[in-house]
Amino acid sequence: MTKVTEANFDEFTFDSSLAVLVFFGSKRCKLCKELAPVILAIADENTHRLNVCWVDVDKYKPLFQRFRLQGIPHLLLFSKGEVRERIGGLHPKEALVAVIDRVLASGCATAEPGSKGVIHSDCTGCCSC
Amino acid sequence: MASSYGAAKKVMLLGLDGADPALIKKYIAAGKLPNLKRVIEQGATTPGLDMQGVLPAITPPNWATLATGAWPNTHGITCFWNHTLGNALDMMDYGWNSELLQAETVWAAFARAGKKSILFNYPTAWPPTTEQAIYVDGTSIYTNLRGYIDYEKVYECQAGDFPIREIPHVIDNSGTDCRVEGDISSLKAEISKDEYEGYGYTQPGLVTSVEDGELSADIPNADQVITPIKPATGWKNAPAGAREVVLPVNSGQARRYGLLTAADGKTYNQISIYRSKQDEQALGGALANEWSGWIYDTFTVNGKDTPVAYKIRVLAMNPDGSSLTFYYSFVLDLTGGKYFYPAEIGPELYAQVGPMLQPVNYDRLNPLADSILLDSVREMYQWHVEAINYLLDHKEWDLFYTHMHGIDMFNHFYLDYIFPEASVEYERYQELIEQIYEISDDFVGAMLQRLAADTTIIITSDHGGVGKNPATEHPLIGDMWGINVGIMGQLGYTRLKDVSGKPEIDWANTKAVAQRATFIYINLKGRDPQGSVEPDEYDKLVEKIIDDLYSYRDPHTGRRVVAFAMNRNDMEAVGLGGPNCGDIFYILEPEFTRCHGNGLSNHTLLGCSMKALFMMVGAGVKQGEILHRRVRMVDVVPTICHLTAAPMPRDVEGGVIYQALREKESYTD
Repeated sequence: MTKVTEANFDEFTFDSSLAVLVFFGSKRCKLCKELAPVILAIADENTHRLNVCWVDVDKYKPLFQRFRLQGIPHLLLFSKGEVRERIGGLHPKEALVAVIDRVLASGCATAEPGSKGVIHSDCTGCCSC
Repeated sequence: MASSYGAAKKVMLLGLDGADPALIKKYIAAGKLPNLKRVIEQGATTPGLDMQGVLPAITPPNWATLATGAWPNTHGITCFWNHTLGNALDMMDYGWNSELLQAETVWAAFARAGKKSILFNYPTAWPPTTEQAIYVDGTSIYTNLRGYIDYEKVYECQAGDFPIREIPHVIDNSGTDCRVEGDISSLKAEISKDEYEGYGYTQPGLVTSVEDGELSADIPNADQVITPIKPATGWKNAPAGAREVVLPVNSGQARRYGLLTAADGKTYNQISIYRSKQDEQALGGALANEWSGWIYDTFTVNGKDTPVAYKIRVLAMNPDGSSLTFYYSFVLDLTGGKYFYPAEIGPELYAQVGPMLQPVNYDRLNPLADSILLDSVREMYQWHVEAINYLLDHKEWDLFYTHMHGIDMFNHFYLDYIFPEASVEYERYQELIEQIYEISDDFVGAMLQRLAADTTIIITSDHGGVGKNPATEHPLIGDMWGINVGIMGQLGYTRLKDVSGKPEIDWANTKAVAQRATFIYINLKGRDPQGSVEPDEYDKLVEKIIDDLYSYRDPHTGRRVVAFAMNRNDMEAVGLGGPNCGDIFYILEPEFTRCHGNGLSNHTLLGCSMKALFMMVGAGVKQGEILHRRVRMVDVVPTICHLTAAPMPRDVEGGVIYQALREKESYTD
């Protein structure tokens, strides 16, 4: 995972020609630690279509604030210069991949609620920090 | 029954929230407000242009009475927030909600007779309760205030190379404790309706200082974006010397590109907004110190391409292109029908009339911000004139109700500063108040053009407003925002405890709390979930608290603060009591009231009053009639039903204002 900072964030995300998954988390967050290997596996298996970045929210609070995040872990999926999906909390790899598949396949259209691969964007599994 | 029965086919009620009859008289005497003057000359009103409103003198209970003809203890809406006995004392419901209304509305009674209504931003009308009406919002002070896609922002652009920073209008989302906006304090009272959360009305809470009470709603707020200006690079169509700035939009989820240009090649005087640097055409733009036109864009909302509209206004632009500050309005979803019934009315209005600009709230109490607010309010009123005329021209209707909130907004923002003792700029603030009355008068004038032989127009307010007396301070009791601790804490009835460094109410040791604008609740066992007071102690405790309230003196002036206090039985004399009121109803002396709400609706202070406006004109109404009877707010609905031969609402408690109505011979000839 590429570590991004406030200074290079836009370059690695909005300006990227490849889709980008940004993992907002913290080393002190247990749920983030559980999610990290899942994200690493996704990164390894999707190098052809996805960059994966890590933002330490304790170091870069302005980035957390800029995207109106309400908790960690939180994933933002960038594609074609915009945030296309916001995924809060802990989810299994299959569910995350289904969301990535859907967003990248459709450009940006969201599936109907209840259909396979939809994760509510709320931070349902916030760590207690 | 007087023969004015059925004299009108249509009735329009124009609600001017916060309009003070005392100020209207003053302005008319000075030659202003020609349209309201015309209504007085051609219609009927009282000597003071006022009527007796209901208590408390707050928006939802009064508009609910104007919708039902019933007193608050009958219709059930008793403050800005509501409370129902049996719920925890810190649980409140948003008082604009039609589901709280326990009395039948005039539009429901009209529907029973097959008559149709248009309810345009009318408090307590939403959510819809009849298919026989068109509804345009009604959930808040301004039409579609909760329909925005992106919050208003101020972009501060500076030459340099630094990361973009965005400071959202929310207080703290650092994430260190996984906090969620609005959930910073667990003390905050619950709202039972999630959809009413949003701008302007966050959850009511524990009020421990004047600043965290309802006055906090008057503090301006906007997202702040700090972003670098750089030489323009990679553009398809940028003139030499142009500069660029990246602009986060749509809550940070997307970006647009600003191009700063100089018309003469030297003096930077324009910003144009592009979707992409590769686009030939800008989406829109603005010159220095000017508003843009409508900028039509497409945002991704819930994964879908959504057509939106917004405006910008340049606040400051350095001619050398090194800095630029501009305002970006609330963004309107042009397809949104969330607060319209039928839902297609929203997009239909935007297509026919254009988008609506929300009033600006990025800053206040400085000449530039105040003038920009005034611009936006003026534009909002004009949009309402056009949107209302469109609906009245193209839809079937017999009854039209609307409410415009500009005067009340300006009262809250500026009335405290209109006195020389309060501000060196008092004349400017007086001028702002006068201007909102003139804007409102223009609105009335536009509506008067619809005055036909078969139409009656009634103009009312829900209450007036007074400026803060510069000689006194607001006492910490009576706040529509939640539960006060101040005076009730000093008197020993409300106790706090520290929970994780934050104060919470210690319910086990709390005997009574001051809740909302004018009520005190005994924390009663068997009724209140956290009750501490035995039922057999109730009567003596109520009496003791009333004694203490009368004895309480303002620490600065030594003056009595509470004008009167009533127990549950006595408050029925003023139309209160029942399951939505407290155990004590009290009113403050005029010297200590805030703008309105915790004062009597008859109070006057330093040239302003809290009284409600009443005047009517048109079909069936006498000309130039000054009524010598008392007009009460509950009388308006039965008068409308009488004039239109419509059924009276089931719970109506007022009477027809016969003295304002003509005998049949005089209008059939």
